[in-house]
Amino acid sequence: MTMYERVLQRQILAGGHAGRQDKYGEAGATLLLLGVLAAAPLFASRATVNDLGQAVCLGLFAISFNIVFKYSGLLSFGHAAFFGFAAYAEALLLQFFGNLPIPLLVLDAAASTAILGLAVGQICVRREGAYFSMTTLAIGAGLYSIAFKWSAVTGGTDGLDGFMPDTLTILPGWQWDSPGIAQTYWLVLAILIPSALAAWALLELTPFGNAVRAVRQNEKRAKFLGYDTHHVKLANFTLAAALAGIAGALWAIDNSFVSTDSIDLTFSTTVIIIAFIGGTNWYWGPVIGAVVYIAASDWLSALTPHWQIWLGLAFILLVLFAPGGIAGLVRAGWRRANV
Amino acid sequence: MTSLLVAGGLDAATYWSLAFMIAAGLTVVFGMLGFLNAAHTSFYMLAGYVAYTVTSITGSFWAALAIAPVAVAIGGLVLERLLFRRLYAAGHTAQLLLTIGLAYVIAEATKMVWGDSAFSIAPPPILAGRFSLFGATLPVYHLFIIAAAIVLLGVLGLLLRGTRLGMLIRAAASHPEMVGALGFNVRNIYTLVFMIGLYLAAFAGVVMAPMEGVYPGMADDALVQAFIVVVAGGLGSLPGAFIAAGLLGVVQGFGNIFFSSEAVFFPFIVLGAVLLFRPLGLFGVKSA
Repeated sequence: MTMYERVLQRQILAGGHAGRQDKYGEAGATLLLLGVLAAAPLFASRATVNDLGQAVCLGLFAISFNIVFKYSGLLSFGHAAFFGFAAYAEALLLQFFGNLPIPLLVLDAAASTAILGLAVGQICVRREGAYFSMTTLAIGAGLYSIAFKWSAVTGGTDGLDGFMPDTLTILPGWQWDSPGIAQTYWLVLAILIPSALAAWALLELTPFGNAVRAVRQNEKRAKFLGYDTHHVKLANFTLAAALAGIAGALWAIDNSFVSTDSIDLTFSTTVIIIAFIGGTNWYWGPVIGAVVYIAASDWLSALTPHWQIWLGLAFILLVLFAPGGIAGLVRAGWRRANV
Repeated sequence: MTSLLVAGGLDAATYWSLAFMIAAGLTVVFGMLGFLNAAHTSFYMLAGYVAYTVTSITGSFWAALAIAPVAVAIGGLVLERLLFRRLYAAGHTAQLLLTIGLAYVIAEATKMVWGDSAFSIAPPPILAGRFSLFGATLPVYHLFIIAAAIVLLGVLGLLLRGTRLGMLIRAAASHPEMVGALGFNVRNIYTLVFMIGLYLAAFAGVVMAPMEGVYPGMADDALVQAFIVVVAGGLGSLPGAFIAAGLLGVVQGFGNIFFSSEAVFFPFIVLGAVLLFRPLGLFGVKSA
């Protein structure tokens, strides 16, 4: 563990392991966050719901990045490859099989992304630290150039649009005619929240999750205990890819537009920034990061076209002084209030 | 056929030279200081834009080649003192995160000053135009790029291997405490190495500018290329970067001529092939 990681841990844990009070606090915060997101269309404006739809997709994507970072200690620098691949896959699926139920199409896109993740992970996960990050960046860039060049399928720089069918099949025999913003938003959430919860349960409540965390804490010891550490990390990477696949597929549905913006290098770094703004040590932290990111980009881009310079500066300060992100700051405040 | 082979060969050597110049600074800083700089090519881009401004004011490419890399290296001095110095011992995760933030800032600051558009820089008159060789007509400027890379490689090798300062730098990289105990200021040596790394990036940016122009996405394009070179060559290994840049140059140079648009995928195929047979890169060592 490097010095920075120790500082990170100290800031995040703020002394000792998570106690019972923390567990209640986390569960309460999770319920509050998901409840507010689910109820948003009841009180928020159409524009806000539209923004939130993007934010939750980005949030799930950032959770996926963080599953690799938090649970395997690997910083993926090419994560947009999975998100973008799934977004293209979903757009094409909708175009050609638009009358099939949406959840099936999302599942299909996610499964293909998981297979891609398995192949990419096979190359990247063997290596740690800088090597992992640089290799994922290179592979991500390779997939980007395919999306960019293979314009017969991906539309090249123009991207794909007009793939959304007028009538959405939710389940066999249950169809929506030209759904509104709130309806689409709820459809996205109805797939997104259970997926994120399932991945959380897999990592926190099952023997598989124990293995993943054991490898993260001390790979040598886990090896001695008989774990096949390479395959444990590979499985976790594949899980993350599948989740990024769901995020990308839902993004295509929510936006009804897919372009190389969702697979390029900038998007891979954006998701890192989002995850760290929200906080990488709480499973749902990246969702907060995504909401803040979308809100900030709306608010700041109205003030200045060069808002990303402020994003970059804020991110530098955050990494230096509050590596636990927003969730880490809230947790520290919560602890202080409860001492 | 001969003319195609000659053209491909010269293109290969040109791409080799460019890829090596871009990756060299990244490799030196990583190998000597253990610092992974994701904003490395942002300085390369910055130098390209500064060169554009200097060229349009003075009308001389040579003035740009003299001024821009030094200006960027001095900017790097300030950043090293303020920011990077805190991170040498902090691990690659923290370094990557911070330099990602910095790359955002530099990219956006560049757009604030120079806007979103691309600019072209005319090569100096003596290097403009084309020459003929075995029936192929080739840009003279490519010869200059190759010469620049050879000079750079020679100066860098001589500095690190042939001078007292180079000996000190290598000693400080492997045994910082001992060098410090002998009375040398290790911090200043580190600062110097960092500035050398940024000078190399900036030099590459200026040399590249007349060939492909300067444009807002050039930092990302170069970063991908530099990472491929450094990973395929073995992290922190200068000879490795040289060979890997050569492989990349050959597939890009000949690929452009014989395959045209599919050539963009070749670097990734090279990287995959290298990692398949040598997971640590060509010159990689286990501890890296």
